[in-house]
Amino acid sequence: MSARALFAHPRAGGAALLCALMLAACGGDDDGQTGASAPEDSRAASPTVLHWTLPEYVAPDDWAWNLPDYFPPPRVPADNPMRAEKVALGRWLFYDKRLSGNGTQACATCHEQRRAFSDGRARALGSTGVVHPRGAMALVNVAWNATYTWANSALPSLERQIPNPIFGTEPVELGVSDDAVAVVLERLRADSRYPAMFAAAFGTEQISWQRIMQAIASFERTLVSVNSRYDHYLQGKATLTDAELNGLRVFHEAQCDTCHGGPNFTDQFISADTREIRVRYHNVGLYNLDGQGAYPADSEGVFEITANLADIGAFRAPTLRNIEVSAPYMHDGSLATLEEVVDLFAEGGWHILEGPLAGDGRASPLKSRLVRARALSAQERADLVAFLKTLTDPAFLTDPSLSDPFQEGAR
Amino acid sequence: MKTFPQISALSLCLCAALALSACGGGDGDDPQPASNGWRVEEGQPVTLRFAARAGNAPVACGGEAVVNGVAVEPADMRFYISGVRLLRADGTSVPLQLSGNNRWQYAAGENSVSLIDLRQPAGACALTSQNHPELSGTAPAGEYVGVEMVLGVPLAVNHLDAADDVNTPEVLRSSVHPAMSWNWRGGRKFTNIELRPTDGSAVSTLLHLGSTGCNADPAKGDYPITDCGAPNRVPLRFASFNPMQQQIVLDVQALFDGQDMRAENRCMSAARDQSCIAPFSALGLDFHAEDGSGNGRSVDGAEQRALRVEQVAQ
Repeated sequence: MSARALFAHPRAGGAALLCALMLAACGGDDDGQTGASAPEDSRAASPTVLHWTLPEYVAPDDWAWNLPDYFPPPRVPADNPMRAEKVALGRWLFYDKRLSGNGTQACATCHEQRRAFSDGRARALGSTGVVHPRGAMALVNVAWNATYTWANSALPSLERQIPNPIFGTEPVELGVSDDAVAVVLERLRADSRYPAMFAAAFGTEQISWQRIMQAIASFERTLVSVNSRYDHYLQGKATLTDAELNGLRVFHEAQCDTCHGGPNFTDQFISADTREIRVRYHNVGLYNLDGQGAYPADSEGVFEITANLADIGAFRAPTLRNIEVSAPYMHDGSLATLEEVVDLFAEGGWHILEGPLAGDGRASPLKSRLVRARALSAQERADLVAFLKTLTDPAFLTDPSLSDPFQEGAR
Repeated sequence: MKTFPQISALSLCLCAALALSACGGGDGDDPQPASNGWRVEEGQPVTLRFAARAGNAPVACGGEAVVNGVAVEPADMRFYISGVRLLRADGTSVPLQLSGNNRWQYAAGENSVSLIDLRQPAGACALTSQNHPELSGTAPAGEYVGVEMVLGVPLAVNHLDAADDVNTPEVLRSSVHPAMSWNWRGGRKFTNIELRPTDGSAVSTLLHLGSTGCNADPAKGDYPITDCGAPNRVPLRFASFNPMQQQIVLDVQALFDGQDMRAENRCMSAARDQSCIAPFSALGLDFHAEDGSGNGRSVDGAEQRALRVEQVAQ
């Protein structure tokens, strides 16, 4: 039954050791087994793990990323190199409401700088008034993400992701429909600023959707946050309080850093230096509707993409940088505060006592093995929250180069 | 690895064609092939026409059709057709060569693909709707008896960067056909078929057919998706079909048979979506809503029932 009982018997002990070795051979330092990048049998009993081997990459020296030495530069697609004029154009487009079909929303409507480019809502609200199943994600160091959105193994770059909010209909975000697709381009052409900006960014005045999306991607790559108090602490320029240091200790000891590790506090991190990565998604036991780990049908995690039943409720571990300002939390905004989030991980899941979402997430069979009761005291939980708040980067949240250029123009 | 259904289906079809010619062809020394045979001259275009039906009744944007007893109107009615081949009486076939690339088609041999648009700019459909109910191409001069094709976009072009305004064929670009964009699943919608009750109730029955279970791998460069768990392409074979007298109709009654059209039936090809049971069954695709184990390939021996041949009124 237990490992101890097995080890009491010499032969059984050998079997247990063999099992342990096999696990190690699978690279089982985390939940799930290692799989091919496109599994032959996507309905395997283990969560999907994408095993990517990336080509060698030398970061071009044409862009100054201004990163600390522990934060290597990102990979930038060869067909969309960084360029100051393109970033400048992308900033205008990111804040331009004319980019939505009915002219009511810009990217920035759901991605506000002061909230680390999230919107403070539990669930995002699209341009046509549709409430989304998930919340708008914070946009922090997105240039380094392995995959995009809350849980989508089909979207490995910003350029591949951006058509989602622009053209998507399930749900409608910016709502650029058949009727709007040419109209939006006409609106931009009619603004005397844009032709010159497109020419500066791309060489000619042509305004196309591809250029719009490339420019926005370039701007989004400049949403770089590496100046938190924690960064200054790492660099010897600041000290942390005893509570924060204790929170940091708890963060490591409770293995938070297995999924929220590395320079960007996420396991989905690809830099110029990355040659190999196992891309994982994690079920943290937020829901367990049926005792089998079911999540609400409107948002079932990366299962929606992989169709692997073991991926139900599995989402990308987002960066924790600036997490203080991007409440509410989790994919559906169901946890209002960082204290609640820490409680979830300290208890090994979330127990909902009543209502349509009732269920004991702590007992979910789909939950990551790493999410388990941690016996953290109230003080340790409070200190963990204190540590997380050292990851807030006020300069990022107020950086004028990332702010709304339309407001700037009005001043 | 499973045998490719196309192969077994093709051989079935071959047998059927042989059987047909064996039964039908043999009166005297008449060289005509099967009764429905037709001749193509050198350079003569072959045009395949498509139409939407609810049973036998026409379906048009702004109009009304009855499906499962409920009056409905389309909000969208588009689908991709690829790999069109003309069948000869002897069971052999030749590809229909599309001519040129434009917003409706991409000519590239086995990866040729056309968009069929059965909408009109009326009612719940987009006001910019451009009805395009046909595809056209050329084939070697000769006698033909039928056609085969695939409902869907070939794997080799389904996952191109749909935002690429330069290298990606127009017909597959999201900026040209935004409503066929299926970016979140990493490919294209093969079908965008949507019906709404005409009484104004805010529900719809839709089928976004397309490949699912597609994971990206950036090491594969510009084409990060090279495999999908459930391809969901539907082979269509009309062994007896004369494009000069007949057209291919999509029957939404057969496609959504038994569904409550007053309820939300938004099938986006998700592995366990109850609202996909009816359309996937009608398309003959392996689908198991109970456990999500459907492999998205044609069920052996099952014939799709959603598209059929219809005589064109002369």
